[in-house]
Amino acid sequence: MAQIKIENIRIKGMAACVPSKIEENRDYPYFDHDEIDKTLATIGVERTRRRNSGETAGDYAFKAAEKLIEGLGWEKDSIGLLMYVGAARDYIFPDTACVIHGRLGLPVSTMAFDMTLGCTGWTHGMAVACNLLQKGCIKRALLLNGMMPSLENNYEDKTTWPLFSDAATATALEYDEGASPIWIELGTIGEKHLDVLIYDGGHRNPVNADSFILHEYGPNIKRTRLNMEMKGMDIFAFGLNTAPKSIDAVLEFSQKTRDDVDMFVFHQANYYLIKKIVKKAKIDPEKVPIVMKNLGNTGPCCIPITMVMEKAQQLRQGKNRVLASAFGVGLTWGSLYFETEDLVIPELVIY
Amino acid sequence: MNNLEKYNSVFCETLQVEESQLKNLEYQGVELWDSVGHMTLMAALEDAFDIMLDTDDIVDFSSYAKGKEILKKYDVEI
Repeated sequence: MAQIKIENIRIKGMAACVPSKIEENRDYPYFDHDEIDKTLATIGVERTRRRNSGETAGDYAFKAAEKLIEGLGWEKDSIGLLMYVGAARDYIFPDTACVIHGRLGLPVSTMAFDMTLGCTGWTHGMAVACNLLQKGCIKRALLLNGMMPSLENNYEDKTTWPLFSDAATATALEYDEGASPIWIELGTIGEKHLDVLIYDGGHRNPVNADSFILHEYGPNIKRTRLNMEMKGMDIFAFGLNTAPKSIDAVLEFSQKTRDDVDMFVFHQANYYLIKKIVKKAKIDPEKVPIVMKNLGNTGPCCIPITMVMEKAQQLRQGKNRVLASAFGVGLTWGSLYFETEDLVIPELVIY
Repeated sequence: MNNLEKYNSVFCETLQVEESQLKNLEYQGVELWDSVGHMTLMAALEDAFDIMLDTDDIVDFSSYAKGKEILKKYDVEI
């Protein structure tokens, strides 16, 4: 696994933006409504956020970035790096980061590019962004993450549609020689890349007429080859096997213990899975914020949006020690241990 | 309620099946036993028998019959 110690970088703030439209899972027609209470209790997602027509994750990321820049009082000329990390891109090319760069009016001296990752988009994005900053050549960065499951999942697939929300987040990073280190642990199991994917639309399987055929994989499980397919139990096993080990690895790397952590922020894949990870990793559940009930899984946005929606008050005042862990598409995983102080966290932006 | 009755009750309530359907019941054999239903079932069994199932056992729990063998590892005789 890749273990990276980042020095001289401070997380200065976080912001999140979600669409205004809310869907209640209790009204989802493809659940068995005699079992709806048990189903909702297991998945932990009661409602999700859905795009209105024409909106993109890039729009939400732009709004989150704009709000965060305003909240920090940053001069736009001071932002040397803009990264957009996620699969929900405005175009195949150009990069969504370039689009947002233009919309924000950032200077031509800003480096802007995308990374395409799913669930680990924040952990891996942090690794790259922080590395680019830590020599001090670039002083300030915005790491944006975006997710748009409404355009990737099929409404008639009960194993995916009700679990995800559309969203975007922005994380502000600054070069600061007094900052505590950020400890990062990342890994990959590439041979399992087929466990979560969208088959068609890339160069391996270009879009063709068959891509649009709706296939039935079980009762109320229908999707096309342009929709996300997820081997649920394999991903569940991967998460439950990987997360506790990654948590131990990053704690060992940073020479910290669970008592040195004020909050454990997890990828919000599945409520039952998070509960199992918490038990297996012997973590105090009181230290684990959960945002799933009102949002579900937002892919690479999960970690920052959980911090914004559930822990803003605590993070705005004083010091906090955070362990964040994500796992998923690739298959990949990543865990970070970092400390924050007086984070700037604007109120959740509703697009 | 003995262990068998408890086990059957969890299956019947969670998966909305009759007892007569249990003997040969397998994962994905009925509508509610999909990946989400499987986690609901595992959570219900853990609560019913006060146990914590290992990852491999959750993944291997592929049928009503297999489940009985798995629960033996947790000292639950059915």
